Parts: sequence; structure tokens; C-alpha cells
Amino acid sequence: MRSALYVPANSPSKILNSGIYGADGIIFDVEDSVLPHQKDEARYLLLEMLRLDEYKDTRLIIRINDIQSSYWKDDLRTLGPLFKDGILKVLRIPKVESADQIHIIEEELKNIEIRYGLNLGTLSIECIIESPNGVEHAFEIASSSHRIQAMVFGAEDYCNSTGVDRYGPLFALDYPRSRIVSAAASQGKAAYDTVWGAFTDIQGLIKDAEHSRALGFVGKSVIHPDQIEVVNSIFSVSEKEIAWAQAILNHSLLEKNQTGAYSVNGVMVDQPVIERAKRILTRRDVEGKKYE
Amino acid sequence: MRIQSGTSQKLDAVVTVDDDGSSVVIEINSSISNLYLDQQTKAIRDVLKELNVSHAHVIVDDNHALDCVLRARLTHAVQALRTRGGLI
Repeated sequence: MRSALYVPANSPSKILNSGIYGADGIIFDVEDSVLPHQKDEARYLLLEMLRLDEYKDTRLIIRINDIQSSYWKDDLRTLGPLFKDGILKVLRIPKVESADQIHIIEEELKNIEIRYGLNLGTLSIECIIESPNGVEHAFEIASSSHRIQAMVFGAEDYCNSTGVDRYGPLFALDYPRSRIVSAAASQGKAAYDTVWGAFTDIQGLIKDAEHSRALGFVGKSVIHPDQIEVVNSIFSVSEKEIAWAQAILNHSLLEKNQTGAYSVNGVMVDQPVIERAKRILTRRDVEGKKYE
Repeated sequence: MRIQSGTSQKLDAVVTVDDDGSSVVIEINSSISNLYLDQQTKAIRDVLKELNVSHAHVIVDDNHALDCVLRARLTHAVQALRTRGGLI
């Protein structure tokens, strides 16, 4: 999933139009973008509007409220019929700081699956890491459940906690970003980068997204439709990468009777390089189906 | 007791439910009523039936809301009214 668009869940026009902009994923948000007194309204709106079937080939995600709030159980209860009918299968959980929190959520998801006769494990999780505490526990969190599909960086709260300037030097967020990417990769999960909040600053978005891709993220959340094309482009596999991967694999077939390393265009190729080439071609194939 | 749900934004509606009265009364204010009044009325009646509401005054101030939005706003208003002890 190269791009995922956040959509406030209490806006019928934004929900209705969210499928037309080309994002690989849509995150319907009942957390920060919905005021406390409107959360119930937003849940009922999703319950009706997501049945419109306007979102073919797009991954639908619900960002529920964090488990330290009093709202998250009501989110799961009211939205239950959407889980039951297979319309929603992925939950993005904000403010995750420990494996214990994931275990609490897992128990609730298991109860929902039993209640609705779903296979255990049908519902999956994306964890947003957005505090120093969460960053320091990233590996423990990523390895806490088979339901976790992805680790996601949330920079706004992290910057509030640490005093880092979100719009300052790019390297200032290298530590949390790398830690999250590494924790995700250690468990074979995807890592998605934080939003770029200055949505009129496209040059800033380009720099931020290129930097996060270089650090190992495979996609980025967005808050405005104008950001989608840029992010999709940056996180797509390039023609140059595809040509390189094909050259590596072609040579690996020729060299299959030999052991150890060999060279292609003056660069050493061994098993990890071959695996990377295979991953690139797999991503290219998956992008053809819109998301991974 | 009276509860409102929704907003006056485009594609939305403000649905007001009052549990006074002894029957169902539906009032729809919409610039597209000449085309969709029957459909909107049916959407409202269907929700009231599903929720077993036998008496309510429902006022819809519509700004081109889809039927599913009307359903959502009305469902929320009825449930909120019940949570506060109304529509018994």
C-alpha cells in the first residue's frame, strides 16, 4: 500500500468521494478528526455509507480510538456489522506503546470473530507508533501478535513529546523512523510513514517521502487528495529498479550450477541480493493489483 | 425530548427527532423534494420500522443527502434519544 488517505468519518461528502482519488488505501478516522460529541454519529455514518460499494480495489481501514480512551470499545461494538460482512478487516490502532495493549485489543477482536462466526484471525491490525515510549518498544509491539500487518509512524505526537520540529531537518526523525522500519522488518511486516501535514507544500512532501522511502518505508499516509499522486509515484517500484532486478535474476539462472557470489556489471551478487531482486519484482506485481 | 443529528454541509442533513405525539409525523425540507420526496420518506419510514418506533416527530433539513446518510442520521438520533430515556 503506497498511499493511504485519512478521511474524517463524520463527513458524508468526504466519505463518498474518498474512493475516486487513486489512493491504495482509505483510513476512515473516528479518532482525532472527530470531536468527542460526534463520535457516535460518525460510527453510524460509516455503518451505512461503507455499504455503498464505492471502493473497489482499495484497502479499507478504520482508525479507532486509542485503548486508553473511553471510546474504542464503542467503536468496535457499533461497527461490528461491517466486520461481520467483511467490509472492514483492518484496524489501525493509534498511540500503541506496549505489547500488553495489543493483547487487550486481540482479545476483543477474537470475541467479535466468535460472535459473528468469522474465522479466528480474520481481523488484522496496523499499529501507530507515535510516542517515545512506543518507539522504544517497537520490536516488542511488532512481535506481539500475528494479527499485526504493519507498523505505522505517527510524527505529530512524537514531535510534541520530544520537542523535535516536524518541519525542521529531515534527519531529526531518522531514529524513530529507522527503529519502526527495523522492528517491522524483523517480523516480516510492512512499515508505513507518517503524514505530511503541510498539504499545500508539495515540495516538502516530496523530500519527506523520498527520505522515508530511503529509510525503508513502503508507503505513507496522506491527509489530502493532492498528496496521493506524489506519494504513489515515490513509493512505486521504478523502471530502473525493475531492470536491475531482472538482470540479477537472469544472471542467477545462468549461474545456478555455481556456488557463492558472482558479479553483474561489476557489482557482487550473492543470495541476499537475489532475494532483494525477487522482492522488487514481487512489489511490481502487487502494485499492478493496487496494494500490497 | 428532542435530539438532532447531522450537519447542514453538502450531502448531509440535519435530522431532528422529537418523541412527542402519538403517531409518526415526517416533515422533509429539501430543495430536491419534488424529485425524491417519496424515496426520502420511505428511507425514514424504513428506519423507524426497523427500530420499532411507533410515535415520533421527524424533521429532516436536507442538503442533498443520500438515503444512506438519512438512515445514519436518523438511526443515531433515535438511539441517542433512547439512551437519554426517550421514545420508550
